[in-house]
Amino acid sequence: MSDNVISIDEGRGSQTFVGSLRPQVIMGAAAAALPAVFAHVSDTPPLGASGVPLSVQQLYPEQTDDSRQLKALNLLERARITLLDALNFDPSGNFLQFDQEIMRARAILLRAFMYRDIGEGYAAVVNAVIWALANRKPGLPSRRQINVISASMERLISGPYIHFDTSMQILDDLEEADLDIEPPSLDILIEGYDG
Amino acid sequence: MLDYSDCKIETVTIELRYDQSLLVWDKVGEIWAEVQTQFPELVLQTGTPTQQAFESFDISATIEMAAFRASCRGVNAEEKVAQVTQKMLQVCADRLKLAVFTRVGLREIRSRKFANMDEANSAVSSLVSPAFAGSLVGDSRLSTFTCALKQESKTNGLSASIRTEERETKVTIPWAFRERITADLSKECLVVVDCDYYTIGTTLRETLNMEEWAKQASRTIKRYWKSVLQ
Repeated sequence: MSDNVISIDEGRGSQTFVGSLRPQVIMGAAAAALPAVFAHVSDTPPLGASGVPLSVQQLYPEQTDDSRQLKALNLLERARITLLDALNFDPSGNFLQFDQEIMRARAILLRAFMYRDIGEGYAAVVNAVIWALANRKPGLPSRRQINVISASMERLISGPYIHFDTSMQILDDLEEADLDIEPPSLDILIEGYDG
Repeated sequence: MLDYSDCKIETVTIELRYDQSLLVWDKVGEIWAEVQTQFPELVLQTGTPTQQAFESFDISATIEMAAFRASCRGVNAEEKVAQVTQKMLQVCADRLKLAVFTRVGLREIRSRKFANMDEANSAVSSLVSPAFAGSLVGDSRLSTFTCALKQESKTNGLSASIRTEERETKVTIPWAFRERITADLSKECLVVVDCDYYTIGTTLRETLNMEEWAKQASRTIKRYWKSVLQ
């Protein structure tokens, strides 16, 4: 069976045609169904001179309440503030209040983890902080550790779609602050495997 | 009277621009192989060192040295184009090592058909004062109407135009087939509503999700046109 080859020249009236000018080659007689190629957006202005990257708020100025991104970032911010609130309490004197704030922050982060489809980097950092708080020893995390966690949250809030490799650097920072970011069962499994 | 809800989507295009990436020459095969895992219907149309274009019936996608873009048409064009560009973003950002984008834009073109150009012109001339669109010399009458504007803030911009156009598609059929195939495509009288929403300034990869961004870009465009075309 031979194929009929038809060429078609696109005509778009007064609209500037900026797509490929080569003949469109199709099989059969479906000429009218050809895609309209005018995708080049060449009539827009050049890039502004600003070298400052757009913030999340500038990039998404009109997010609605149903936005998963907005929900996730709000939860991260709440968790961060709750952690910083814990610093108002001295764990040696007000251990219960201090620990309550830490547990509250962890509960918020567990909800933030529900939005892990945002990206692998996001999921890795939130998961690491959840385990860092779960594995804490009495009276911890320290002020320094809370500040490191807060900085990692800030990093995620300003760039939620970070690459997984980038998130490894944040995880390194958490580990350098003596935070145990792995689930304990993982250690047991590794020990068992080594043994 | 022209109502925005009567205007049907022709195409929605999303484009991301970046500083020239020579890695395209090394990675383009990998990029397309991965994009095709999610959109297997895409077929190569042109493949040159500086531009690779793939198409399916309702998707057109192109990667160049300093930009990639996708266009979709038909039902759910807005969602589809966001999905395609999100996939392209993930793959291109990884393979081409793109951390920063110099411009992100969404262009939406809608149109509404009219029986003739007079009807099309009269539908849009109500947007301006009667004197502006009225007869200027002798018994002249409005033959086409074009109105365009551009607005920019420090972070975002929007350029919009509304125009009437008489569209004609010309088909060239090889002599051997002219007996069997007639190329009788009628002219169309249209009002075309065209809007481009874009970022001004650099955008970091780690802040960018095309589905989230496209949703709100579309929302901005809709809000604008609904306030204009009531």
